[in-house]
Amino acid sequence: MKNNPENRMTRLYWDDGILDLLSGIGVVLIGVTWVAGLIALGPMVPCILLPFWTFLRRNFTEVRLGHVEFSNEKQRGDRRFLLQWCFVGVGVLLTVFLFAIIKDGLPATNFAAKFATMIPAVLMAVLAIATAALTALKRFIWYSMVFLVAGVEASIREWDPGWSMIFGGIVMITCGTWILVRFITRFPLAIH
Amino acid sequence: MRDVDSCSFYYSFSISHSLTSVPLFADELLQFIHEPARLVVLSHLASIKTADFVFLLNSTELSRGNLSVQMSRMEEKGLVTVLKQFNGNRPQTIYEITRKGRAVLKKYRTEILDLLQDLPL
Repeated sequence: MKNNPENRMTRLYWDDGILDLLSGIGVVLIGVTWVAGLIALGPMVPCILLPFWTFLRRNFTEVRLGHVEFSNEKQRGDRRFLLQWCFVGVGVLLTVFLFAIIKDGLPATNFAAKFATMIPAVLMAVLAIATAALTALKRFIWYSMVFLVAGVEASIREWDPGWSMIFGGIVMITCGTWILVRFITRFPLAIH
Repeated sequence: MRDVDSCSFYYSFSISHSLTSVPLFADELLQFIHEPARLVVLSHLASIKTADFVFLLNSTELSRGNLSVQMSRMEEKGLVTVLKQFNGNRPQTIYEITRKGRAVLKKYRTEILDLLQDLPL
């Protein structure tokens, strides 16, 4: 990632911890629905969290950090990126169904079944890397590593794949909380 | 003797002072944005569409007074436009770089590259 003014401002814009916190909560909730056998509720989680995201960005971050509108080129690039992200989301859903089919059709010791346990964690890792590219925040690359390690661990121990998401989500929530506290300290309420 | 010493100090100071104030650029606007604070703010504004005063304050890490003065000067020179508005109950000052501002910054980049790129470093 280049250290040009646009990247620095993008990093500053996203470096409030809210993205980590809400993404972490979302991932944990999806993991919990998975472990509880309520996978169908998983896709509802982002819909529930999105209004919180908009509210917090407007009423918490912008009053401290100020308002910025990025260039048209960047906005177009981000929209294209989000569209690709939606495709990845559809991929996650398809993988879930594929996973269900493989798990029921093959013995637990089969390599394919073991690898299938890792797939949700791998997809989360891919999403984390994509987020790192979008927001210029390098810590999302570390989150992707956490998801990969958790996925491998869950696969070796034959845990439910939801546990790898819960573990990764908790790491994100912890980091997000710490970054949020740092953000509040660094940017107190702006005085006009 | 003391007077002579102080005089020589005075002259050497004047000479060195006049040497450092020799403009690097013949173009007045290029010399104007050569000042670090202005250059930082202008390069930030050139990378985005618009930003308010608070965001520029946080992203450039300039002091409130310095940023305010520099923005007024750049507005006078026609390098940025200023829009004052209310966002709910909060007053908001939005800045945007002008076409002229972009052109000057582009010319500055060309000239500074010409100046530095062939140095045997």
